[in-house]
Amino acid sequence: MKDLFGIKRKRLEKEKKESRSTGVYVSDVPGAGKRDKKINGILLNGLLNAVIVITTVMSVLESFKIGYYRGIMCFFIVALSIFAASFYINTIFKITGYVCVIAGFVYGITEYTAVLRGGFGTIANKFMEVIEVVLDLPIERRYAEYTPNRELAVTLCAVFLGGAFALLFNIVITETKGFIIVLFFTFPFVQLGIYFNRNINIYVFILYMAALTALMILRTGHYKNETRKKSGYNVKRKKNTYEYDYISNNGNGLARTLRIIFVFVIVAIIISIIYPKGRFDINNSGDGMKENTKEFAKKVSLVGFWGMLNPNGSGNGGIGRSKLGQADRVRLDYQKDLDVITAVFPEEKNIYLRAYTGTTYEDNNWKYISESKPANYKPLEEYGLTSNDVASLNGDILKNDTNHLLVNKEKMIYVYNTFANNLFRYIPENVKDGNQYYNTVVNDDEFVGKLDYGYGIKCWYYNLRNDLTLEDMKTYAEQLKNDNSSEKIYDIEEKYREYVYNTYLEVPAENKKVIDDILNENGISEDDSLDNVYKIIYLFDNQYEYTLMPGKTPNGKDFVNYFLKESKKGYCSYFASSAVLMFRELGIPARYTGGYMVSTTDSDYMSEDMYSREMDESVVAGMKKGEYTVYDIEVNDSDAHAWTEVYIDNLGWIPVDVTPPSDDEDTSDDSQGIGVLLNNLFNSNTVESVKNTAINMAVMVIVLGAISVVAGAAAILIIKYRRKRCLDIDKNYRYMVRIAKVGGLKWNNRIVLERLGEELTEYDICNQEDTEKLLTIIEKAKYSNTGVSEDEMKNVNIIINKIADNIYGNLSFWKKIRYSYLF
Amino acid sequence: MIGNWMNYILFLAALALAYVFYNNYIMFVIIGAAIAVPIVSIIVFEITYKKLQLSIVDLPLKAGKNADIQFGIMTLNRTIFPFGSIRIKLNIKNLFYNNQKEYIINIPDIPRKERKIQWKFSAVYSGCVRINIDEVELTDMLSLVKRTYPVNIEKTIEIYPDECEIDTETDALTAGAGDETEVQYIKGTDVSEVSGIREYIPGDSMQAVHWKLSSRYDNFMVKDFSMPYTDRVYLAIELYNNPSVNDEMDNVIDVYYSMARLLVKQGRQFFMLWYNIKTGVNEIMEIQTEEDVVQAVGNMMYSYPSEHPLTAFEAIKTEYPENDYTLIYVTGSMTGINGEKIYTYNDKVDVYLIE
Repeated sequence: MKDLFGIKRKRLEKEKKESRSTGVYVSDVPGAGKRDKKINGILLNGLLNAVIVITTVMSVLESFKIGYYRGIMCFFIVALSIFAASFYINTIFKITGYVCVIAGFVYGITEYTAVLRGGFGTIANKFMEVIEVVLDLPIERRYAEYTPNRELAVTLCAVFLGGAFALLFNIVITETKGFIIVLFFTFPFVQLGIYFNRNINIYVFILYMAALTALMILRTGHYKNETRKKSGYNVKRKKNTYEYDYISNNGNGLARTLRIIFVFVIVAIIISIIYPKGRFDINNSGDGMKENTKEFAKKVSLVGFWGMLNPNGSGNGGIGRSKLGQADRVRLDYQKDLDVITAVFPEEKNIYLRAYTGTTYEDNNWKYISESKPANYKPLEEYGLTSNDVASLNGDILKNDTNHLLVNKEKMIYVYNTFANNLFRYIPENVKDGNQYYNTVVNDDEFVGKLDYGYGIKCWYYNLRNDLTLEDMKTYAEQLKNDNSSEKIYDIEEKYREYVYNTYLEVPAENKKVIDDILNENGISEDDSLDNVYKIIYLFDNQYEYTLMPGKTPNGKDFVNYFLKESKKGYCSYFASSAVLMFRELGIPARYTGGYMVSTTDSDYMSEDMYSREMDESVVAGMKKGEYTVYDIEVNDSDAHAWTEVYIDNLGWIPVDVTPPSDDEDTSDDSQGIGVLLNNLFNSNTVESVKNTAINMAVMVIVLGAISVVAGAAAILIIKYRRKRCLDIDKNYRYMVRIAKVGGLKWNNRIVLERLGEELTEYDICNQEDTEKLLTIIEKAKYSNTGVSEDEMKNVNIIINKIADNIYGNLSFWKKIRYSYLF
Repeated sequence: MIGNWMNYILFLAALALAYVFYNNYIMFVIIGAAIAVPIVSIIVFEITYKKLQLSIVDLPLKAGKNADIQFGIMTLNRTIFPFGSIRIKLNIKNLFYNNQKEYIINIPDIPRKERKIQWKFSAVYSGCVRINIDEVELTDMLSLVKRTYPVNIEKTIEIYPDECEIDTETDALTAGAGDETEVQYIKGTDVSEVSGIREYIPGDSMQAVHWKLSSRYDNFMVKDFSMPYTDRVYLAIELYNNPSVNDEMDNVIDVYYSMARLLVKQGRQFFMLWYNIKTGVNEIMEIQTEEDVVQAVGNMMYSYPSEHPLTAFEAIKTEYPENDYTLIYVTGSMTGINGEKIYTYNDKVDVYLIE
């Protein structure tokens, strides 16, 4: 090749000049001392890797008392670690080694799938058992453990998991002695037992610390990159000085590591003598931070990944109407669903915001009349009624209660949908003025009106006295009727009462026997009294268990029957559904109701509404502003609830909560309610739900995508800005090589300068003058000991920017788009 | 160093995190140990860092230009505590030309074990080359702190000039060298005129080898031809170094050395003369044998060359104003010398005869 621009000659002259100017020419630097033995490197890296992986796996298994064959696991992981370390003998070994190991993994997974699943199931089950207790999680997740030999399955599983770690760490340890990566990947696992108050094995822990310390000390020494340099050193040139960085001898590293492990083991023995039990005892301090993180972990496990991403809660929060008993647990997101702003008084009852009611119990589900009609059902019209007539029956009756026989306060309430299910309205009981609900009610049990996200409804309602029993209410209602017998509303009530008694007393035949048995067993029989309601509540309180993790109702079994006779545990939906049927069996008209129970006493979620954004007028009848306090109550998934409504003659539907009290607030009822968006998507039973979830996901994907695009664009702009002004000749040179490759030139960073110059001019990428100038400066930067001036650096930057523009201009349209980030 | 601190702090942070969840006494022990290790490391380091033995070994005393010169840098940590690294600044300097090259060598330490780093270099110019280690930088075993302390280890090696072939037609160099028979003696045809026998030294003509005597001894023996001289002859050199063109003075020295050897071979007794700018005196050495030449050139290498041309010439003229001697003056190409140019080497070096 001809000596274009005299590059070769110039380079020789430079080299000659350099040695002429310094008078010293270092032709060859031999390695440091005797040649390092590769076997030492393999043993060192294999040993470090094996100890770290084995101790990590053992920490987990032994903390959670999972049985396994320690010897077998250690043997295989040691063998694999040393085998993996030997990959670095040369490139061929590395490629074939990794291919073989990955093939081995694939073979093992396909051939021993059942055993591995059994092992994984055993480990996961043990782990779940512990975290359910420690974190107080309302879940019962269990995996199949079918395997003839559980210990062997766990051992195999541990070998596979440990092997995967060993392969990962082999790269890190052998190439860089990368302490931080190893620490981050292993320490959480070693800590797991400690975090969950398990005992950890002192020897395992100490060995782990020893290996980690050895790794840290090796990292700070000259052990990194030892596999890359046969010469035993790295050379860097800094201006006029050459720096020879010698790499440490692996034999020395091995000896040092063994010494560190020896010292740690001695310490462990001493500690075990002082501490004869040989194991750590957990001294659970109840530290606030620990509790906080546990609470956080609990939320994460309940809400899931998507729930954590969603600031407003996960999905159509809280309420759903799908089949009962299909979810094994309640999923909560602890996020706000509704804002309820109203005046709160200490003596008032909780506020029940009704989302929907269920009339017909069929196929483990509560259905509207429009979906499934009761046997004796006759439409309202046949009773001379319309839906509008009964839309606010209670309110129309209670407006005459000027003596407060039943009513505690007449208040305004504002319900704002932050992120509750937007398929429903959330209407308090005993709404005062039914006009606003006219034409939004189908039959008497179904609101077709919806409250979308970001909207609120405001209404007046009657908050009832909380010191009255149902019998009291019945009595006072009758008294109220007597006082106001001329009111037209009582005619409507009479007709509606007939309708109610015909519609809301149906009990499916399959439930009848079970319910009768239970009622008989507990001596509860039908009478005219509403006291039976309290007997049922008492029965539930004493014989049934409240839990948020009742497990799924087995396929083919009736939800209510399974609850009443077999599982005897459940949450609000279980109690409310069963109670409705039991009330009906006892002759009390009842229906199932889902919605939110707003606690007016839980101050954690209440804040004084400083802004009174929707409450600028008086919100309590008969009281002036200032005589009461308006609160903004945060309603979240844990407030989602199911209760019953019983019909009280001369009054209407009154909410009756039959769920036994619990430390855990009752929540939504099934899998559709809250939880993971993906879970919803694949498990939802209604088209709307799927649609909503899909939209949520799409929005999330779009938002995340948009954020990524904006962040990426910003990053590219910054990089481009910096690159356009970069004065570093080496960086500019590498950039030029890169863009030239995009332009179709087969260059790399080791390309000889004369070829580079030839091609720059040959393809008209750069003119002759600029090319010469560019190469001269690059040569000077590479070979001269005088360095280059700032002006020369700027020149290089300008010329390379010109070259970039030229290459970009000649790219095809798609390449321009594809590589726009480079130019 | 920052990376090492980061590693250590992360390590400590991980332990602190563990302690938050698990405030058992064993975590105290471990955290205490983790905090103590660098403290111990630093304290031990402060005590031991001066106990490193460092030396330059296997460096020959003399060598030719461009020959491979190999030497070793030996480290020996006499304590049982390792250093993180030993960072040495190695400086190779030609004292004659005052040019140098610096290398930084990081050597991992092994306690109580000698470690030798081999180096190979070649000197481009003749002169006295000094290899020295001014200071050494050590880090503690965790490489968290470093200390630099002076060590001032140095060794020198004399780099001898190349002998170039002097081809001159002039008879001036043989002036006063006796009658015709001397020429025959020079050719080595008549051993009766040999003034002495000595051991062979590099550069001796093979014609001068006394083969019979050599066979009796283990070494080659060569014949010394002595010739009476008729007047004082000074072989002088202009030691002017132009820093941008070191080659020029190097060639002058080559010619000076070759000329001296030629004169010795001719059997002439003469004086080698050079001006030492450092002492401000003309240094002079009588030459009878080739060993004298080598010794004289060796001594000359410890002189300082001048930064201005003709400094030496003027100094000689000042010190020896009477014209009762013959001056053979070897200099780079320059004007201002009144004498006969008897030889030019490579268009860069001129040899003048001034009588």
